[in-house]
Amino acid sequence: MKLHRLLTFAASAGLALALSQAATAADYPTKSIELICSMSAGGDSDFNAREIAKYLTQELGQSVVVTNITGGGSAVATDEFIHSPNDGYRLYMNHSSLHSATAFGISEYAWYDMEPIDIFGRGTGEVIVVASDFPATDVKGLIEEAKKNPGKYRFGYNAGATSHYLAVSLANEGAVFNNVSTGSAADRVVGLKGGHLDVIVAGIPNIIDYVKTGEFKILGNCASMRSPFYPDISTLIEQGYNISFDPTYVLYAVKGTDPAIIAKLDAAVKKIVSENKEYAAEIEKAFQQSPYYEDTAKTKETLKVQLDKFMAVKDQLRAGFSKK
Amino acid sequence: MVVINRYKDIIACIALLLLSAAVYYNTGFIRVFEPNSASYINGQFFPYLLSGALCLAALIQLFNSIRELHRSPADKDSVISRGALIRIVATLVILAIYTALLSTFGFLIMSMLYVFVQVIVLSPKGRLNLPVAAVLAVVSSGAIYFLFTQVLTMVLPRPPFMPF
Amino acid sequence: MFEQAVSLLMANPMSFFWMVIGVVIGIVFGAIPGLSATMAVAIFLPVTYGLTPVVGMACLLGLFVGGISGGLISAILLNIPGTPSSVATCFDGRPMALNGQADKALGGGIVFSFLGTLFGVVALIFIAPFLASVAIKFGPHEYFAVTFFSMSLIITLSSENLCKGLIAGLLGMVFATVGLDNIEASRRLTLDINQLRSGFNVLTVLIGLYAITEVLENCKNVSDNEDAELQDVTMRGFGISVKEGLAQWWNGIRSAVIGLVIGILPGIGGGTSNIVAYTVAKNNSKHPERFGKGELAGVVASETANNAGIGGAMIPLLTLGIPGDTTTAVLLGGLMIHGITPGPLIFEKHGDLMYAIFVLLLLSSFTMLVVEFVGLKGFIKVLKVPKYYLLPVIVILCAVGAFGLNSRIFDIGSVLFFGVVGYLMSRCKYPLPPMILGFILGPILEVNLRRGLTSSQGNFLDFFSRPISGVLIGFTLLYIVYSIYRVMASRRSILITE
Repeated sequence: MKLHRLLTFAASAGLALALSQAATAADYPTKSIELICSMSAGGDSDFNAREIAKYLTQELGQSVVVTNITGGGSAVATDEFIHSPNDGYRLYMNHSSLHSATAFGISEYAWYDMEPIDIFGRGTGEVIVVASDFPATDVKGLIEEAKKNPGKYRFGYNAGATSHYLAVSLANEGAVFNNVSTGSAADRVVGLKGGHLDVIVAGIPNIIDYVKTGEFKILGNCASMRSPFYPDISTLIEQGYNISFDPTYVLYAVKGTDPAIIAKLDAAVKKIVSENKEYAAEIEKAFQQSPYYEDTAKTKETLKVQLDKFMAVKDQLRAGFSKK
Repeated sequence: MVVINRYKDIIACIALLLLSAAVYYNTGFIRVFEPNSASYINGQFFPYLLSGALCLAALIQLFNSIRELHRSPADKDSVISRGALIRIVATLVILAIYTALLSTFGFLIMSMLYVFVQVIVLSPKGRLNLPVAAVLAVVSSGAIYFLFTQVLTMVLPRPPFMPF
Repeated sequence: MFEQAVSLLMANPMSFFWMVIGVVIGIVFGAIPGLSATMAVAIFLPVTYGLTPVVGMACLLGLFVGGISGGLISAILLNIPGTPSSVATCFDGRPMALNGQADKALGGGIVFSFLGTLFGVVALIFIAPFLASVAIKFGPHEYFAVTFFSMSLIITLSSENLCKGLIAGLLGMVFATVGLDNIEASRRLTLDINQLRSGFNVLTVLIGLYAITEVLENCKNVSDNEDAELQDVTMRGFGISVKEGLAQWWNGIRSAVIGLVIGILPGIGGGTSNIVAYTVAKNNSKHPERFGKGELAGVVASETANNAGIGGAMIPLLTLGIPGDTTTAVLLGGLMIHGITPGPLIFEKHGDLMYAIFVLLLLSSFTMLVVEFVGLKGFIKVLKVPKYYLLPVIVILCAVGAFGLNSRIFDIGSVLFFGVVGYLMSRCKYPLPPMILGFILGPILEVNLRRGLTSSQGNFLDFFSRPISGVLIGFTLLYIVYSIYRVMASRRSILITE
């Protein structure tokens, strides 16, 4: 008798659970959603995550809360996210650091282990910066100088990050730098200003004031197209080098999430990015960014292209810089 | 009943020696790149140095401890009563259970259970007050959970069946 | 200048309201073990998005000042540092509380927290550009030298037992090595456990070593039928007399300078300066043996230093746009989203806001002083709550704090792990402070050694030929010899007097 009761209870509990799952797809979301950001609080990625979370809260009617998980070049965040339940209540945002972590080997996952929803924004981009008295005015000159004086110029990079990718790419063009590991963007700016480094990569907002005071100068923009707010800075591609990385902000769901939920989220994000004037004004004011959107299908293509670029130099990334 | 452990210093030193050996062994697995300049100051250098220093220091301490053993008698502090030992083990067990089940049952439920049991474990014999412990557990866990998740909009472990 | 600042503040009267709220909440976050100033600032950052820049900054600065100062409360009353910046306050704060002098410890700590903050802010206002230009000259070689000096203080910290202290320091460094290498991003000592890739966070180490150990120690005390409650403590005036306060003047100034200098250097902050200031005070005292048994100078040194670091950390933030630590990194974000980019031009572009920030920092210090003294009687009541009720609640708050670091249950597990480690260490009489110092400074030492070598193409002599690092390293070597001599001498004199 007892076993019979137990089985009946189990069966009805299972049915209730299954029904609740079916219910969630239609009236998603019914409770608050967590958005994981792989960058620390205060930066431009975190800001964009919070912006989209704020407006998604309005669109979806449930609060979207941002959590920061930092470490391992975003590998720690990816790890935590991948194993989450695929009910759509946990989302993830990342940019190109996801690919560099994959190519470098820090993370065993890649973008295709998750479900991309869309691209909802675009960072201001990183530029190559040197002190104003550096004997070159563009990337060609930089590479020439590095060829003529191998190992003399100290290039600040962060292992496994986009700056590492750039260092490897420049090395492929024949430049020979003394590559010094230097940590975060702020450390690199200090290093350049203090004379401990000669060439760095940094975000435009971090160094634009130094350019205005005449201490630094910018040699080129690492994004694939020019920034609308800084149209005079030419890109590396325009200068003739096939090197670029775009700080596009991608929104992910866990693999296996109901496509209906993904479509709902995608539609909400699209509405915000294309129509919300308040959102546009806020991101412009903070980081000189303009709204940018790519839908699910296009996002997957873009991600594939981005990852392939990093994977192309995968062996060099993992080999380190050889002794000279 | 009383448990005296005069040899704990020696045991600690031996544990440290084992640890330094483990660190040394694990350092061998660290992937090394060919750096730009100095060839031996790489990712393995520091861990090797630390394991060596730790081994040396542990050996010196071992020598000192053996000398101390013969010299001074056991002091009061090395005495642990049976009651204390039970409490310590109980505390470690409930802390481990708390951590392990946090993702399954969520912060709210586990914290209530934990506080309740921990108060019982820590209460001196004559002062065990179950109702107070229960009220404290529910009120403190509830207040903290709601304060952090609703007011400060932080995310705490939440099981799938929780509505908030 | 100041007139513009005042008019800006008057135009935004909500700044005062938010500043006070910030200070109060900051003190609460700082006082509760597991929650920290950094967490408070990060949680409130989105709140400031909707406020005007000056009001938003008022809130964040209040949280910063309150948060750093609040750590002394739990350090003295519970022997658990509320934040990493108040570790050294436990060393003498706790014994003072046990001796019935909790009010003196608290009073002295609060007054000198205030004075330390003022010192740092005054430095910020008047000599920030000069200090920043010096700080900029600190490259990897100089950082290595500073860290090398700080690590030599382990010797003084372990005057009880030199060998055990060194072991503790080495253990700290070993644990800090776990994770991804800073230079090459290779996995180190991670035992194939993915979660260990991020390494351990200093806050989990701190909470584990102090809070969990305290719980386990209490298990022992309860069963030994020792009284779990402390004797009744009354609050006498400000707790600290004017005479006692003035006697600390040199200690205060010296500790403030240490806190300021270490605070300015990005990457090293309050977590280090309080221990350094404490140890220097102990070294230079006529009665070093009193330290650790309830010496006011220890509390004063620690609290003055960590609060002076507030002004120190703001210097590179405002003059160069470079955050000195995680808390100022969030402050940087708080400024940028309002379209204000700190850097060389900030005084030209936003001079009124900058001076308003100075005024707000000064006001926050006063507010902190008032709030803490008003709350002092309440804080002391905490001593009366039975430990068996208080500690479990603190543990779940620590769980919140640990989880809040990186939203991972793994960090709560780390706390438990370090709790066991800490308990075993204190059972075997290994000192905990050297372990914390080793944990914080070990990575900085290693990273800068390697970066410096890469930068100099493998030339070791560069460490000595560069003026700042050469002088510091030489001084440190002499200091090590001197410290060991002092430790041996005091040990010998104790043996002689027995």
